[in-house]
Amino acid sequence: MSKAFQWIMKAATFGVFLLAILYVTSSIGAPTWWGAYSSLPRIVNSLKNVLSYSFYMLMAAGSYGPGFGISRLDMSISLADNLGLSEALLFPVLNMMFKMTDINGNMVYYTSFDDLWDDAGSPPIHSLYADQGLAILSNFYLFLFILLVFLALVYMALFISRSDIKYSIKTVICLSGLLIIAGFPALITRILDLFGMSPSDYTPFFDAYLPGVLILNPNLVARTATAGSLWAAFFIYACLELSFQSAYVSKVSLPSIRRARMLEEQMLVLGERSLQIEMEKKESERKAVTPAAGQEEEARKRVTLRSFFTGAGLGAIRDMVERRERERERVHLEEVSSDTRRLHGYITRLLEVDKRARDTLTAVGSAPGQKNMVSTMFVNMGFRLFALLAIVFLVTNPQLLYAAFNVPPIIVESYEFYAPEAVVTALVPIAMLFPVLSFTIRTYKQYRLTKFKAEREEQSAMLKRLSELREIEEQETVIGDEGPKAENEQKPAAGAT
Amino acid sequence: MLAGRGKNLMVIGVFLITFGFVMVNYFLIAVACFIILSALVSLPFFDLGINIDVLKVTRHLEKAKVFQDDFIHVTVEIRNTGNKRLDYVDINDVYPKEFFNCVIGEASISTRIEPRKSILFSYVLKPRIRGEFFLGPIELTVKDRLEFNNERREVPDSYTSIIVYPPYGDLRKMDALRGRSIGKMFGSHRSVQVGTGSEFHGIREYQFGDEFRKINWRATARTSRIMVRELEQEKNINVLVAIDASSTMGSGSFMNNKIEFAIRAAVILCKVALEHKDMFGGAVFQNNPKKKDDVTKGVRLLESGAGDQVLFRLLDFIATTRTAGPKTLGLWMDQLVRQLKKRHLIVLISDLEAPIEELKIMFTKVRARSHELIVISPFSPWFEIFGRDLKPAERAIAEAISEEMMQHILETRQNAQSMGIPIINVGPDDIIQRTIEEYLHAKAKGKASL
Repeated sequence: MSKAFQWIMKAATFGVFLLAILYVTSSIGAPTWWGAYSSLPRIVNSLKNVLSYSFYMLMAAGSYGPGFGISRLDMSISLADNLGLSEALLFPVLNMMFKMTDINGNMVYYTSFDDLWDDAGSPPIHSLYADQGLAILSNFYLFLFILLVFLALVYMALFISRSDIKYSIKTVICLSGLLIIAGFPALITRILDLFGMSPSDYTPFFDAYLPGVLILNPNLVARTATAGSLWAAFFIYACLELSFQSAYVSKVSLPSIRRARMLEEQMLVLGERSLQIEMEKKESERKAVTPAAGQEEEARKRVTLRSFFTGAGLGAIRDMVERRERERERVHLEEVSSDTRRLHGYITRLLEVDKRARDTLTAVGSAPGQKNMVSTMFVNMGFRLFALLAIVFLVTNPQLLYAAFNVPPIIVESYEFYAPEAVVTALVPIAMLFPVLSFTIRTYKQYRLTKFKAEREEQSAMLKRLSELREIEEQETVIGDEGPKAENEQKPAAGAT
Repeated sequence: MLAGRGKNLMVIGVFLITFGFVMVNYFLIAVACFIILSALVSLPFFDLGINIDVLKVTRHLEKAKVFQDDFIHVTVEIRNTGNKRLDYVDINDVYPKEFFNCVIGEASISTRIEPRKSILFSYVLKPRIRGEFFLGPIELTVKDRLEFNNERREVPDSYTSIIVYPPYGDLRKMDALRGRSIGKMFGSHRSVQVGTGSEFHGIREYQFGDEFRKINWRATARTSRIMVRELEQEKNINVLVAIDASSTMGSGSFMNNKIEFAIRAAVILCKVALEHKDMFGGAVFQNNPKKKDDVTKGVRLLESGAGDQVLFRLLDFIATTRTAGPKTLGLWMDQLVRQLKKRHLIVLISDLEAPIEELKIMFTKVRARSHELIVISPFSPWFEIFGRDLKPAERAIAEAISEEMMQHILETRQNAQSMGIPIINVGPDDIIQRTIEEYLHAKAKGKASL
């Protein structure tokens, strides 16, 4: 039941997250996706070219060193001749190995070291790097969209498999990241405008490297607090909340399931291993009964003085060392086997003798009741979502709060209070309210606890004092009783004398 | 208190709200508000509802004393004595991982506890070495459902002492052999006192002072000389195993050092003595490392006695021994022999890493009180390199040290031999066997007979 409930929760979380991903991705215009899709092969191709250039350069540079060295060893050959020889041999081979192309797909050939740097013939190698770098940059922005969607899907899958909420949070970050990236060109444009740059100066750059992205869903790019944007945010947060609850269900239900499975597996392995050890032991005992063949071999290997000097001695010593090592290994294995058998025996006996042992080892009682869990989960989630929706509505519409607190119209109607930053004026006090309340409660509890402890200590001190007084009283009573008795005992004795 | 996850959410929220402001995007602002407030909104409810003091946790051990190769079943019970449900509780029962292996189950659990309900979980530990250890503390972390807030504490007085005896495997092996070698040894190594008792020992010629009733007339008639019967009785001896627990005995790997083997050998020796119906006891030599000048209290003595109970007392006595402090063998032995009222066969297990003069004093002290002494000396290099793969340089150093130590041992042995005290050098492979052999040998010779 608990496992089924976990899977239902996971399936629900998966479905909701999938919807959220579709919701966000579908709001981004198709040209962006097509651009992002086509950027992928371009980036891969540019990276491949950059790698080819690097290997080409490395091999060419590698051949320069030996050529220089040989010319220094044999002074009869001039450096220029030697390098010329290297170049004549090396570059045709390199050109054959690396079919390099430039950004336009034209083949690139070099014939000498100088040719790598000059403009004659093929373009110089640094310009090839620069072209490919620019190609990567111009496609990278759109490629980020694909990357973020891919990461969102991967994190979602990881959350489903591991029930760790850090993955669901990362999924939400990826989804928000899509919108942040989409708004990036507009943001930079605004900053450049602030610095007084004319659009004609930066438009070509933006067209090449940061093309504009069209967001079709107005709720996701709302510049004022609208109900649509609030509901859209609520939907994304609800996914997160559901994932939190799903992770909670897994975390409190899983230990008993995992423990039970582990115990079963351990018992199975221990049983199998013990049986195997028993069989191995019997087998070795059976072999030990007929050791004739082994003994004969040992006898044959016995070293005589003559054979020692003929070289057999060394072999015998080596055999002795090996035998010793084998013996140690055997002893170690025997110890391990013995431990395994004893553990199996111990657990079997424990489960027989202590009827509660299986339940406690698997902690079966720790799994919460499913009905209770489902009801509390939905109540808790519903309460949280409702409360959060209400509070966020207040925060994003601070005018309601201002009206409630009779803030003067001159402040409320000022231009600054229509900026999004006005949210902070409501968010900070409301957000601070909870820690302050929490601190107050904790301080009060601490005060009560201290008071309770002090009272208890006072009581125990009083009780201790009372018991001491009682003891003194008892002692005095005993002495008082013994006094007359002793006197009485002495009196007849005195009378007798 | 805001937990790590709550703090992370706050950071993410601030990050998103910043972008929301910069990009004038109310969607991002709203998402950020949800995320920030979700971490904070449950804070007062958590503090209002959670009282960690209502959780009562107890640990129950199947047994408080256990052999090193045995297992212990540890059960932990957590009871919620309050009226409110605790949604998420992490309970971690801490045990010293360097001394115990958890072989079955887990020592921690995450769960939720309904009011007035309790939860039980258990695990099985296997001790790795002998000694006295403490399980605990029990750590409790109460969290809210989503782990945004938490409160931690250690359960007060949640430590449980556990004494781990040396491995029982040695004793078990000995029990298995009882019918064979040990039993045989018992017959052939008994120490006898001739002249008293009721068992026939032999016939010899009459000597002045022999009782007339012991004259064997048949043998007298046969040999034409007056012959008497000799009777005998088996004598029990007092064995005292003294263990040197100074710091040098602890050198080497922590599971295979000299003290561990010494204790194993001592336990086996006492078991054999028990089988032979001898009186046996133990002594541990150790100075307080904090009071180097005060060496007057360096001897702990368990007086010798007979029976299974004494063996268990001895196990308790030596199980908690740890090596510490300097070595003062001469003083220790002086203190020991002063405390012994009867003649004893003292089996001292010590690496003898002390000046020759001090060792001479020790031998003299024993001899002066007519005790018999056998020294079982674990040869340090054999223990310290036991089971270790040494590099050539390390091996060379080890050999050089071995040479020097061997010289010391040889010199000590010469001095000891002049007083009739055997010193037996042993390694990890033969320490137990040689200890038993020496005891049986001494017994057969009638040493330290009562």
